[in-house]
Amino acid sequence: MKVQDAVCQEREFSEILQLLKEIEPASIGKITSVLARDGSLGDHGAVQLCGPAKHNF
Amino acid sequence: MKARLPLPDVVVGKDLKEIFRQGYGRVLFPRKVAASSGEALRRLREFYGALPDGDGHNISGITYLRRLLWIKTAARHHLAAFSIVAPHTHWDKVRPIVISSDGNRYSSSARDLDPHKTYFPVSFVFSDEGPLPYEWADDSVSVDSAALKTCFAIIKKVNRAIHSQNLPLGISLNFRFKELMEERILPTIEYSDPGRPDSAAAAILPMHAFLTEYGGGDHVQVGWHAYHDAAYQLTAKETNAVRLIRESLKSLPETQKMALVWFLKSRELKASLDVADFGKSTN
Repeated sequence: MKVQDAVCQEREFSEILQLLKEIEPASIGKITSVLARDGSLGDHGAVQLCGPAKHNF
Repeated sequence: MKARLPLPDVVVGKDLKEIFRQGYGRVLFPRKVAASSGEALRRLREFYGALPDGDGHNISGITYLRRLLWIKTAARHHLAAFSIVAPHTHWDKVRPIVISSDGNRYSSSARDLDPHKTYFPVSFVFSDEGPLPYEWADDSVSVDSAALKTCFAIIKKVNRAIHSQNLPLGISLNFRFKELMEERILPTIEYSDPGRPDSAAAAILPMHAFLTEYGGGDHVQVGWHAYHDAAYQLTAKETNAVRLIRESLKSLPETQKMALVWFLKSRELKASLDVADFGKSTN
C-alpha cells in the first residue's frame, strides 16, 4: 500500500472514531440495529446464501 | 394456449399440478427465473453494472424495492417477512419447487405434488399479470395465516408499482427458523451436499448449523434484507452517521474495522447499562 493511501485510511479511521464518540447514547441502539441487519458488524446479517459452487453455476 | 397463472395465494396440489401441466414452467424459466444462482447474479451484474454488496446498498433496484416495501407496509416488523432475492432454481422446470420442514430444518426441491394437500407460494417474480410465484411451501411449514395474507397483499401492491421495470430481482417470504414478522436476524443457507446427485433436495440451514455441519464450503449470496433505512425512523444526523460508518466499514483494513465495531458495540452496551441504572434509580 502506498504511504499516501495509508495516511488517508488513518485519517478516515480517526474521523469515524470521532463520529462514533459524538453519537448520542439514545442513537447508538438504532444505529447498531441498522448495521447489524446489514451484516456490517462482523456477523452475516440477514442474508440468504446458496451453495456449493457446482450448484451455483 | 396461454398458461393459467397461479395466484399469490394458498393452492391445492391438484390445481398447482394442472397449472404446471399447462406450461407455467415456460412462463417462469428461463426469462423470469434463472437456471442457476450464478446466472441470476450474472443478470444482476449486467443490469446494474455491479454485483450486490453483502448489504445490497450499492444496487439501486434493491434500495428501490426496500423503499417500496416500506411505503406499502403499515409497520416496520412487516419488513421482517421479506427477503429481496436473485431469482433462480437448481432443479427441473416442469415441476414446482417445494419447501418442506421436518421441524429442525427445511428441504427444497422440484417434486411431485400431493393432489389433496395445500401449498402456499413463498417466492415471487414481478410481471404485468401480477406477482408470479416460483417456489411453494407445503403444510409442514408453519406460518401464521393472517401474516401470510398480509404478505400476499403487500407483494401484490409492490408488483403493481414495479412490474413494468423488468428488474432481475424477486421477493421471498422470510419464514426460515422464525415467525414471518419476527425481526430476528438469522443468516441462512440453502446447501446441497456435494456428494449427492444434482436432483437431490437441498437443505436449508441456519448459517451456524451449516458451519458446524459442513465446516464452511463455497457459497454465494442470493438474498438481501428488505429494510430501507427510513424504516428505522432515524434523524438526519443518525442517517448520516449510518451512511458514513457503513461505507467506512467496507473500505477500512480489517484491524481498523474490528476496532470500530468493538468501539460501537461497547458504546451500545454502555448506553443500555446506563438505561438500566437509570431505571433502578427511579424505582
